Amino acid sequence: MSAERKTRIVGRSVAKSDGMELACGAPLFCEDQLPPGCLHARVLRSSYAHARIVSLDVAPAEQLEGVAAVLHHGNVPRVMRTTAGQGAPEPSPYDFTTFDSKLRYVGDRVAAVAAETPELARQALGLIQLEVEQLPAIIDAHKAQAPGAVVIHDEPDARVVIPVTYEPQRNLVAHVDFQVGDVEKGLAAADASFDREYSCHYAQHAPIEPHCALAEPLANGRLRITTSTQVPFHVRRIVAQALQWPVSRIRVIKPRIGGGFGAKQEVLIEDLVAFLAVRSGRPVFLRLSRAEEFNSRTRHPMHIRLRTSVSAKGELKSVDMNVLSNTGAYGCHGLTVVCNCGSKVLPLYRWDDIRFWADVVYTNGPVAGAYRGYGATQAAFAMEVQMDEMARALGIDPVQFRLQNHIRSGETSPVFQALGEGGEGVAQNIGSNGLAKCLRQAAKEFGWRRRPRRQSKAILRRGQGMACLMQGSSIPEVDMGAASIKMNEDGSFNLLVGATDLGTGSDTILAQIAAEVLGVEMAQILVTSSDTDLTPFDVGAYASSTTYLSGEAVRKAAKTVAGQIRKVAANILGLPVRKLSLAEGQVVAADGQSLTLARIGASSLYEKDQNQIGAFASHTTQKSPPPFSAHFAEVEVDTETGLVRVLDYVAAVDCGTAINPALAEGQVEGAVANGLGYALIEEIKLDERGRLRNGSFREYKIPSTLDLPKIRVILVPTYEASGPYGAKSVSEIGINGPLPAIANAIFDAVGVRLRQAPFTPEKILAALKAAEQESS
Amino acid sequence: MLRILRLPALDQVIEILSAQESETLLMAGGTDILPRPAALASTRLLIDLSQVAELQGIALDAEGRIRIGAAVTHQEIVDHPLIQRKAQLLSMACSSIGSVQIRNLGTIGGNLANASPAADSLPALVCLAAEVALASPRGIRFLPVSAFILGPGRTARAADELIESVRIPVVTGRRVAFFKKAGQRRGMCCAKASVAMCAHRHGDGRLTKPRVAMGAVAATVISVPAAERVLADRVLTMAVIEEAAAACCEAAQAIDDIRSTASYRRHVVGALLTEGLAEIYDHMQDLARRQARRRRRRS
Repeated sequence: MSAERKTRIVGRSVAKSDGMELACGAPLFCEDQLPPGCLHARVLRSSYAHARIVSLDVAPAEQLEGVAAVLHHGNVPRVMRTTAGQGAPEPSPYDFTTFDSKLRYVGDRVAAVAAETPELARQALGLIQLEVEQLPAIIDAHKAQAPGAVVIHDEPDARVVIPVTYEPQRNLVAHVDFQVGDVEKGLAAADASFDREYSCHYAQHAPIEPHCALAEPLANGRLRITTSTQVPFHVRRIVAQALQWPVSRIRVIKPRIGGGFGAKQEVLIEDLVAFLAVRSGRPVFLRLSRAEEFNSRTRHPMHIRLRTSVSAKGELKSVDMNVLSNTGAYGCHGLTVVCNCGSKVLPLYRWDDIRFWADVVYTNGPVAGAYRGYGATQAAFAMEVQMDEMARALGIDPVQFRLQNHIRSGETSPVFQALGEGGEGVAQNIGSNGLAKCLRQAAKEFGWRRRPRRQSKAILRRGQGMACLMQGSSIPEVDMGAASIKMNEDGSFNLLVGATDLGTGSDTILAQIAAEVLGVEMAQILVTSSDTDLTPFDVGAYASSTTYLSGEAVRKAAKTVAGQIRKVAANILGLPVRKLSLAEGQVVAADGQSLTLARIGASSLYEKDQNQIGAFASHTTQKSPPPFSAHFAEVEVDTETGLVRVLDYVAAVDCGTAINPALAEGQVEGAVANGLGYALIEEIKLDERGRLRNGSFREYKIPSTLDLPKIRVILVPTYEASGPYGAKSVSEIGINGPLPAIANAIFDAVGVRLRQAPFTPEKILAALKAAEQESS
Repeated sequence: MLRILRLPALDQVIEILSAQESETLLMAGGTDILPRPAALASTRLLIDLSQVAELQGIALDAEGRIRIGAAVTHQEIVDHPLIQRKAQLLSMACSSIGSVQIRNLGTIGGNLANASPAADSLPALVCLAAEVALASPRGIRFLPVSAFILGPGRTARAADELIESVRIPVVTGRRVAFFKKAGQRRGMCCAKASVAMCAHRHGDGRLTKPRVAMGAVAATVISVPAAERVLADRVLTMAVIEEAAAACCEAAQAIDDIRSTASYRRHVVGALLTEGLAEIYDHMQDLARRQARRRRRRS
């Protein structure tokens, strides 16, 4: 794909292909598909943050009428692996097995039961006798590496499968350190330097549908798993690994799913239903309770120290970012999330000297994993708040300051080369870059610096803040997406993709790309996705990859199919192929002759030179072109109650070509709402024994529509030459904006810098009080 | 085995209540019961009160008090013209309960029976000097709300009694009122703290018979006599407001819990009272200005 050209279906907000059936309540979700005689599973979980199992007696549970199978560390083979649904070999440590004799957090698996009803399964759990030796627990990440700290993963078989630092005997999951230039010198020599610490907290994805999975043993000895997942092919591989089966005996199907946000990039329960189905010889279903879901996977809490320096004229000089990331009891995504802190934030600006160093540590807290934003959220908070602080110290408008320093098209950053998925990354030059346009358009739409302000003595004080963001589009030289297309005799096409629509609309977008290339309407593209038996491989829905990566695979496959169609038409019409093109469901010749696709389909299947028109295509990428974004927020801070109201929010995003603008806007709105929750309301709280204090929607609140401002989204079109029809990604980037934009707006309103999220009324009042005492 | 009885008439409910030993659960909207499967597990008999004829309706009773049937939903209260005119404070408080869906199910009787320290309707009912009517085979007895609520989840209702209605005395004259709540978010959440206030407003700017009550800062809803004393018979000024707010902070016996901290709660009740009174102050200033203008025009 080289030049921009006019498109017919790409760039149009066509209706989501599954929208109507979902709205009508069709039985499309995992739990809608339970077969007769399906058993129900329940999991006995640790109520200790750290303990060793001394004895486990499951006999009373096994003897309960209606219990079909009970699993525990004594009867399930020990196969060390990771739950992280990543490409193999995974960059996450192999520190997990189906059941272990050691319990590492409150919620860790002790045993699992399959029984005739959920109630019986629950009753059976109550009969299991567990005796443990309690061990000291580490809840605070800062204490994980203290001398003499208890070792959380003392098992000798915990290991890494790629060559990276892993020292479990020091509770160290990962360590990263790279430097370009001389940061200390750069910090010392500059006109102004800054040194601040920031922290981000545990939060949960809160998908509307918790994790659920159904495993069915088939008569031919295979196992069919229907699961609410973002990564069906990784589920197949990891379940095969756990069962010690060949991949060929497992089929994984992803039905419609109710949201994932990264929580379902984890193979969290599929191994359990698989084992239980194999043991009992019957279908087994498991749905996590909401309490379990809250303790399933979380965002990595981080502590970030950021040091920067800048010249008096506002040129950025040196940056030193140091991160302490808490991965909880298991190391899934520990390394890669922390790498993203650097790789998705530091290249945004031009720096002379860069150092990025990070430790990821085990604690006995909830297990962190993939969560929309994936490390960029936490690091962008630190960076963008510090950028605001620098701009103000220099007396430069924060928008101007960013315009002056951001990376341009054709430029590169040494960070791309230095930081990859654990090891080195892939060097890339920035292609499309609409950041300057985003900044200008969003500032104009928002009315930056032109808004009336309340007086500084008022109780309700308004302030404005902004932030700049980048993310990536897929993981270069790692991710692969594939598609196949075949043509039917009526001129319709089956599009088969491994890509995973988790409610994002990727089935629709991929169909749009195919329809565009093949010159047909949406109704002619029949999408089947995420079935490991039927569809080609795809890594799944993560790393903002589907539109950019799988979309390009679809485009390539469609291109090949279009060529085949033209060839058949050329034979029928007796014209050279080059004179033919596809449009409006027909092949049209330069001289005005035309053939309908139905005619061509029928000919190829029934009449002459019979042949299935169809093609496979795969796509990998050498780059991960960043989408860029500028966010602006206005808040009103009640200095008496500490309450922050977000009055206005503008997000401009350069996602290349928006294949479906309505869906792209929806992604941004959803991500901003998600981020506002993280900034203002949401926080998982633990007690001193590592138990969740608010693992329920009663206490853990996410923003409701009443809490959200009107979120105005501006799509700033650019053309990314390496993506399908110029597209880049859009799904994650938006979540990174609210933390810094709101923090900066709060500062603008009341003059206090909040560096510890979330910005609850309690914290704001405390900060105001502290500021008052300091000034008096 | 759980039996569920949906009964149409009050005497049927009373008959069963007096015959049953225990483990009978009364339910109207179910918004506090259904989210707690554990409560249902130990229940043998569940009586659905939502269709009991005598528990419906909002009207004046024989003594001229507003009678709100125990099974009247929060949304009916919010929308009812009599409440809006004569007990506006209750309408304000009920409008902040849950969401529309919850307000369409949850009832005033249920909110009383549940006796949550954070219940939104209770501070308003206390300010309005509401009484709870309890029906039993012995007839009906009346208890002030503050005497009815004994502690978190505990009330003075005997096992054979049923909340029949709430009665609110009607007061004439010009009134001011507000309900303010601090929560984790704007809708669908329990109060971290709440403040309700009502008073008579006089042409000279004085407030008389002020009533102030607070939620979620003690084991039960509490009234704040100290703040009431500050406000009584005084013209509202910023100094008066500050003094009353300080009395609220002083009266709060708040605790730390998952939703907030004791110190925030103690502070915020003062802030909420200030916010509400400042709005009244502004309103009265407006009125005074308009009166002055009218006088000028006339002269």
